[in-house]
Amino acid sequence: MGRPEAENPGDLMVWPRSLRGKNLLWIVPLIYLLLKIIINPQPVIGIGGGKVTIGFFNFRDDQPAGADDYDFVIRPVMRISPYETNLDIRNPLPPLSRDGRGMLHVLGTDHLGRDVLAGFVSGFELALLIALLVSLGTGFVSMIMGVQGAYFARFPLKVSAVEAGMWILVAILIALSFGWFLIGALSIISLSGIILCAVLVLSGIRYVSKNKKRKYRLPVNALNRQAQEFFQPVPDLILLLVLITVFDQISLWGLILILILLRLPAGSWYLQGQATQFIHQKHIDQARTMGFSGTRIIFRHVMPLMAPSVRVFMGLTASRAVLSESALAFLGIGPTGGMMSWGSMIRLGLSDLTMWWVSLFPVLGLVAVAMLFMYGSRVDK
Amino acid sequence: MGLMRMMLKVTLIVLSVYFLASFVSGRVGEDEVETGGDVVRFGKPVFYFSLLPRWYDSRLATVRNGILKKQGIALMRQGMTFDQWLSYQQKAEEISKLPGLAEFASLKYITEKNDILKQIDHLEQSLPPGDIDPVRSGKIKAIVAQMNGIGLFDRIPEVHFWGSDNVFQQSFISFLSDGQKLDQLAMAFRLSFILSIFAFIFSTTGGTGLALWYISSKAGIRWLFRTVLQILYVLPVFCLAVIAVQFFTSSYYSPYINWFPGPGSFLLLGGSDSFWQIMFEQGHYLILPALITSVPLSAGIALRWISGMEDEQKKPYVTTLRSKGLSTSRINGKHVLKNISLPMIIYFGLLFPALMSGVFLIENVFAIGGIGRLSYQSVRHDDLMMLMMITALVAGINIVFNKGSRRVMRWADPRLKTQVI
Repeated sequence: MGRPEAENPGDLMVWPRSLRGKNLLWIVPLIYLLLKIIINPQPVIGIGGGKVTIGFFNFRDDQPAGADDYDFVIRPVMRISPYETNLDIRNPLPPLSRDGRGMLHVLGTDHLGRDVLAGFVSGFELALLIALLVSLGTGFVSMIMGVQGAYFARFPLKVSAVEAGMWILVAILIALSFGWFLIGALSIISLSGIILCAVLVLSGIRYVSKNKKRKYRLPVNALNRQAQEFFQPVPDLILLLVLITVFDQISLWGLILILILLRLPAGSWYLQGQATQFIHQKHIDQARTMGFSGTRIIFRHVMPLMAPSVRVFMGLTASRAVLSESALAFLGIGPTGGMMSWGSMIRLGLSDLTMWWVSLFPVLGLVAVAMLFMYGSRVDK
Repeated sequence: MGLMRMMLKVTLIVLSVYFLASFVSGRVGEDEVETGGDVVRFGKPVFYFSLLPRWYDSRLATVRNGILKKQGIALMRQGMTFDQWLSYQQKAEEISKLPGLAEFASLKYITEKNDILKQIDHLEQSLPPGDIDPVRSGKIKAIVAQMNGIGLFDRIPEVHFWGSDNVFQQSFISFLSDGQKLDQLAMAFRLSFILSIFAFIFSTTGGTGLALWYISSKAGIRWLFRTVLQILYVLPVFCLAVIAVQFFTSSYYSPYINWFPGPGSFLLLGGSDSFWQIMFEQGHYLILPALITSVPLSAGIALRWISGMEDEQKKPYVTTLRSKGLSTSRINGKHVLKNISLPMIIYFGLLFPALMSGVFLIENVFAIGGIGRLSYQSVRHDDLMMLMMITALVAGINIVFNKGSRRVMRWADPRLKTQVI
């Protein structure tokens, strides 16, 4: 969002004393659950009649479902869809008012008669989904990349000349097939087949040349730094725009994937720096002496130590992802621009300040969620 | 050497965006072809790249309908060209519209070559004996004849390498020779640069002032101060912008705070003035946008200063200064600030290029024709070449400022001259 990143946001911010050092992230799912029980286009849980309905993450539902015949059902307090318009009303209704049908609108309605609370919940779902998936994806992948970078910096991976050549060839092949997969020239099955074959060939070569002399060092450790140096000057919002233009109409999953990819270089470089200090500890040497494999050391001995820094990084990523998405939706670009997301609600509400309630609650929600993600996962020293 | 590396980096960035774009076709001069109910949109292929599969026509990437695209990909893999596929789609649409031929509606979606040929044979045989309906059978005969005339599946694949038919090269050269576009880019760059200068000044001075105010405030209300700063730090800048526009640029809510010119007023000036003219004569148009941009940034800077200052307060030299009778503001403003300013130099160095892309949203709210506005318009008009140029420009500035801030840091702290930073 156009601001340089904090190395460790936990050092930057301190909560009020009573909240210090406590993990506040559990508040988010609790509030979400509560909101979904209060307002939901579907039953919260409905079993019977040969089907099971679970009313979570249903932010795409246009209309509330019709009459239902369930054996067991938990009904929400209000069944309103965020997209349900009510054109009978002349003016947008302020908070805590009833429309002609006697339906209560807790946070009021917009000019089309859509319920603001339902829109707020739908935007909350979108923000949660994006924050969760982007931070999990980025955190996991960049942790693996960072830890292996730090590990192979200390214990270099040596290969023979043939093997090095094969590595380069396989890298080009996989990059090419991924590009073909993106344009639709290759199916996902063929892509996974190619990747599987590549892994098999590389491990086979490694197994065959087990006792051969290995001379060349694979520059695995430098890869993260190179990627970070390369992507650091590229502005992320403009890069996001370029990607959205190139891939025309991206879906929500596409946007999440792009947000993950944009964050990977910074994440892997930051986490490699964090992992380097653990790699030099004694227990790693002992594990090496006991003959444990590199994979086992990386997964069992280093990764558990990384939890605090990964948590901080994931929180920062989540808040940045939510803010980026809302900025795009505010401009009406991207997949969430047409949905009831917080960004599009803010755009709608700010176009006419006489219905201030349309934009106020999304703004408050955005600030609260961004702050919770950014500082809620803070680990006190 | 440094300059060479910088240029190499910028070139690499441009090339990587090009590689990315080359996989998916760009579109200049879009056309629309109506194949009955479905509109197949495609453009002139801009990027021909030899890494694409031989049979792949980059116009396919711009087909909007997913099912049609799937069929196109499948058929072209079996040897059909894009143009053949388009005319095939038109014929299939015509057939499906003829009465009594609903069973052939699936011709539009079949993905197997043999199935299509079978269906066409079947269509020929299904003509009723005798001329019961001469118009209809004449139509079917004509369509079948045309379908056979399309010459399905007998093409020779073409490969486009760099050369005279490389449209990317042509569009790149035409961009460079298009004076209007270059002017647009230069003007946008100038405006964003000036806006960034203003925002930089506001945010650095504001952030430092806030930090000094915080450290001299009473300990009891510091948590409140800090919470406000935290909220300001994450506040989305576009909300602030729109609210400020409503209150400070019109007398609708209050006539007393109508201090700034409204959004869009910058466009009325014509916008072909020089750097200094914009800076000193029209600068007041840019003050409100710059102020709003600087609000979250100054909160972030203040929080950074504060975390450094609070650690520094415990050091013995501060106690010594205090015992010598210096005032708190003098201790903090002169001695503490100086000692903790080293890491901030790098931060300030990164701040300016971050601003160049960070004013993106503000420019769109205020309709200032800077880099952000231009990139938004380029997205709307699918002008990929302009977007690439903007990316390269901003990346170049980022690299220059990064290097520059490292130089400044070495000048400020001579110990670093022996180290690599």
